[in-house]
Amino acid sequence: MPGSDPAPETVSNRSETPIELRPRVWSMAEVLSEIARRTRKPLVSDCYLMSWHRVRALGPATLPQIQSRIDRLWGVEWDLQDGYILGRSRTYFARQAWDVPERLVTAWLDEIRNDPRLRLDTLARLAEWPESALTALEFHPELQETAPDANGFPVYYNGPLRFYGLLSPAQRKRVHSEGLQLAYPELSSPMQRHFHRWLLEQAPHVPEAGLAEASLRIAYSSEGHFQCHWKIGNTSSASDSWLDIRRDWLTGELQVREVDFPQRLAGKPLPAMTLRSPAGEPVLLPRDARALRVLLIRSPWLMPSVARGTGDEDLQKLSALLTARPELAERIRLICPDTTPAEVKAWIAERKLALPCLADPDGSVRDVVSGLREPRAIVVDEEKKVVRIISGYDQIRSVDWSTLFQ
Amino acid sequence: MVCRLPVILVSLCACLLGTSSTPVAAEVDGAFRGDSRLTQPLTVRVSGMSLDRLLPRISKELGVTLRPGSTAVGDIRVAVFAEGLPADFLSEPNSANPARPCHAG
Repeated sequence: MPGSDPAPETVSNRSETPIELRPRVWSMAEVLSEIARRTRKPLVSDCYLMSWHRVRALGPATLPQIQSRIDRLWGVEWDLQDGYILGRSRTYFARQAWDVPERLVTAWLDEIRNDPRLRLDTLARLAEWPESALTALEFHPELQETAPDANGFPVYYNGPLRFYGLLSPAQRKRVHSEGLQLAYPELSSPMQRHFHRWLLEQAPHVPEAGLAEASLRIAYSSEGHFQCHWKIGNTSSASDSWLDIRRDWLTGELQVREVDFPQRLAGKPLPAMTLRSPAGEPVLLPRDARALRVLLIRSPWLMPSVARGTGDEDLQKLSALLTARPELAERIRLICPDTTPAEVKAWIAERKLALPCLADPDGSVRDVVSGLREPRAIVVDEEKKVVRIISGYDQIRSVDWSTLFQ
Repeated sequence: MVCRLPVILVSLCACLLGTSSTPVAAEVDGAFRGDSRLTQPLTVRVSGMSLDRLLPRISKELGVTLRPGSTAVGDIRVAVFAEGLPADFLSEPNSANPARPCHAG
């Protein structure tokens, strides 16, 4: 990219160099990221929640080959404008209409971040979307960082949730208090139709003659316990689940979320980690760094990232400190996830970073000590027990590194 | 060559939404010309993010409020990768397309 390449290639000769895409998942968003990362060209494109897994079969290929394959399979028109790779879907309106609206996902994300219990009203709105669109939310980067698999709830509980969506405000209120009990004759026509469809999915053998005797109960507790029962004569069915991203959806048992992952490390010794030096040699931490006090897990390709300058203000500050106080170099290691030793070597040379970097090529160490893609600094005491965790680029770029080594 | 990220972004959105019937905003012109906040280099790496979420993040870095000119623009999910590029798109608002789906203030 401009200003960062010591011997810039031209656009034309770069285009002829085969590149190998290695996304975490083969979603459109991740593949576009990989194209920008591997070609080192600025890129702007519209983006949808869909799989581009069939790009994988291409293997190492030139940029024009990759673009051609993508256009043939998914209809993306490519252009080069002011040095940017510009990608526009040829089916923009159809793609956008197919996606769950971003505003709905955003509202859901804000709710989940505020309260891990899932709200029935939001789930009911989501449940109105086709299963394929809800399934595609697995490719929504922010949702997956915040609540992996949460997109399954409006799919798995589609029947009850859509039924809930037909209730009046007063009835919804009762669902959240003592529970709502309804007899079949009390159901409105849309509710009856929906109940029929729900029954057909769950119990196709139930004779329609008994429907007039049907009753159902829906309840949602303040702990996130969602219960739906229906009964027709001697036949009944019960659905119990926990709509809370902290809990096991079946048992209600509390679990550690990925966003809370570092809490698992707090006060405990650092686990043993195997990494690679820029020269490719194995390095075992913390064994091979006796004086280690700070572990910074941070990808050179930080994403998502919006930052002034070249987006590495945090590392430049740290590098300046280590240049001024070289004795501190023994006390810190920068772990670069999803990056090969050769890439680490080229990156620190290009950015002129005086930092002890280690490669975590498959991201496995990051998965053990961090879990997420955002940068994290882990501070340990002399016994290598975790005493402090700093998460997020904004927090890390504003930290006074010198205080962490005291 | 000077690349202006938001101009490209705006151009993309305008192409997607069309320029004749989309109620895009064009309320800022000369007011920010020469504003040093908009000449700051910016690095953006996002993929699958809506403009509703991206523009506030850019605003925070630049110290200038940017917001989508309409719901349709805000809902557009984009992939944007640019490193250390100037953000002075408001000084040349019409370079790529007469439609500009962003307000600034």
